[in-house]
Amino acid sequence: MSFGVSPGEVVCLLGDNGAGKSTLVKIISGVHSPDRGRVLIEGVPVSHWNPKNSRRAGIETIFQDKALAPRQTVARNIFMGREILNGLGLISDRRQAAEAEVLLRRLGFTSKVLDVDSPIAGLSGGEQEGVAIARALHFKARLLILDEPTTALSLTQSQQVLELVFRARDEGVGIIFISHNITHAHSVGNRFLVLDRGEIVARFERDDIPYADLVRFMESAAAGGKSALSARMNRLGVEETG
Amino acid sequence: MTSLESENLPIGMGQRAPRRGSGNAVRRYIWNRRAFISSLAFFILMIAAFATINPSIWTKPIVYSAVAINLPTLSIIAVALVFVVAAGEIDLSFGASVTFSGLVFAYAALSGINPFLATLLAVLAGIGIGLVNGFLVAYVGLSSLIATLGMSFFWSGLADILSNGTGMPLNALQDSWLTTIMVGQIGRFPVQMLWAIGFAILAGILFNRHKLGAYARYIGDNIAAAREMGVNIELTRLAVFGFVGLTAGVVGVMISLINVNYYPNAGNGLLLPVLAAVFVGGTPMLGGVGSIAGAFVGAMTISFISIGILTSGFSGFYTNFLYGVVIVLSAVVHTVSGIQSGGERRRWLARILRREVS
Repeated sequence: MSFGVSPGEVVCLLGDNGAGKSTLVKIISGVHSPDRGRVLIEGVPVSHWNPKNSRRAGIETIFQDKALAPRQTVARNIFMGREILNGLGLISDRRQAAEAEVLLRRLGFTSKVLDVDSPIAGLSGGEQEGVAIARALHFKARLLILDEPTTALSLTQSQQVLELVFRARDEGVGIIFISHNITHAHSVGNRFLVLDRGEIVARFERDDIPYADLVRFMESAAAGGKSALSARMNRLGVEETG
Repeated sequence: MTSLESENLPIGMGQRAPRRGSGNAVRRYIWNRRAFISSLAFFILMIAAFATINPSIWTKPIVYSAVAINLPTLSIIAVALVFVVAAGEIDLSFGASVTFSGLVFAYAALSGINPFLATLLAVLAGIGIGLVNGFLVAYVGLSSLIATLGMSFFWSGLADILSNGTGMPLNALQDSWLTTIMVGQIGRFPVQMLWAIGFAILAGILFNRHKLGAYARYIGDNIAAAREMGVNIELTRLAVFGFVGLTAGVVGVMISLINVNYYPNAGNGLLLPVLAAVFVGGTPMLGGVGSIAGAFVGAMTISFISIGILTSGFSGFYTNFLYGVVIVLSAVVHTVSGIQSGGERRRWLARILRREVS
């Protein structure tokens, strides 16, 4: 498979469980090494690919598992792997807490609701997602990857996440958005890539496919596997890729 | 989606800290240091219990200076072991590492080289042993329990082979500068206690404020998250095992100097007391959290048990029995101190009672 993401564009990865969406995310974010293939940032192939280099290259990921350490504080989690150090090379908890506080307030969490010195395990699912998002936004991403960011969230919280996606997109950030929720995907996406067992089996531009058709397409894909998918694509007049 | 539910965590681990605000400042301070504070409370209660049995002996400084001679050999390794346990691992080889480092020191010192250089060689041997453990765990992928258990037999066995199982007197070092600096006395106060306190402070800073301690905790807490956030898992594991090895090397030299002798089972007696000190000090096995100050107090608790038994008139046979009582009781104290709300405390109690009934 091959695909690109431009600045200010939201590319949605769709597909059933096991389609390879999260694996792809982990390769782009440097957690897994690809067996073959390349990742190019602004046309330049990257080498020594690992999470640290990926983040250095401006790729921020909100992982499906949120990548939070439950017994550490909110502030420590936000700065995990990129700690703010003082002159002696020690972690400056005071500065980290202050910056985390500002960050979370900007996202609409007040310090009464979400305390930066609280351990993550004491927070609700929505609050934990908020911490993961705050972390991704803090470090000025050029490419933001969100892997199932709305699954555990209430309607209001999901709306907040979608608004953050819009805001990041408007600021020129390229976004890869993964969701089982077609409504959410369709409301934010410019392009949709449908994955099946590690291959891109269909590509749509947002203008080419109305919401209802996208839903029907995904339903038939889930119900009948690849053959049903091909049949459906033929009926929609979509070209198969891979 | 995986949710980090507080229900999946041991009691007290999934709770919010007391909220910020003037009224909560003290509660918050206590909450953040609950492992240390409950260890200290437990230690004080234990000393009070011994003092009730024989009050007069506890006013004599000799009791404390006697404990202070050997306490550092426990506390120095225990505070380093907190890093390993917080990283979700265990090290069972530090006793053998103490023995082997002691042997390296004795050989070097007896061969006529400068005692300080001999110390350096012994510490390097300790670090080497720690790095081998770290390599086996971080890169080869062995369980730390199995790797360090195997290495424990390996290094103590090698020490036996090389020394033919016999000791080596180190009388020539008795009046050396090295002895004065490392295990000498200021009045009645053993110098090694100052080293132990200084080292505990340094380790506390490393654990709470340095990346090494933070990364060890992230790995023990959620290794996938640490990896995804770019924490170098392998290097951190290597470092924490190397750190324990370093302390084992120092303690190997210290024990040789205290006894003016290398003996082939020098480190054998350290394994269980040091592990006990870590757990009594409020560092749980589950990883992600730990307390350096707690481990220091834990080492104090363990060290005072045997002298408490002697001063209370019990026979030495009670020592292991009391170790057991202390370890289990302190684990209960840590569990209760980790419960913040009255409701959860009641549920905890109800669960015990229900289990007893059924």
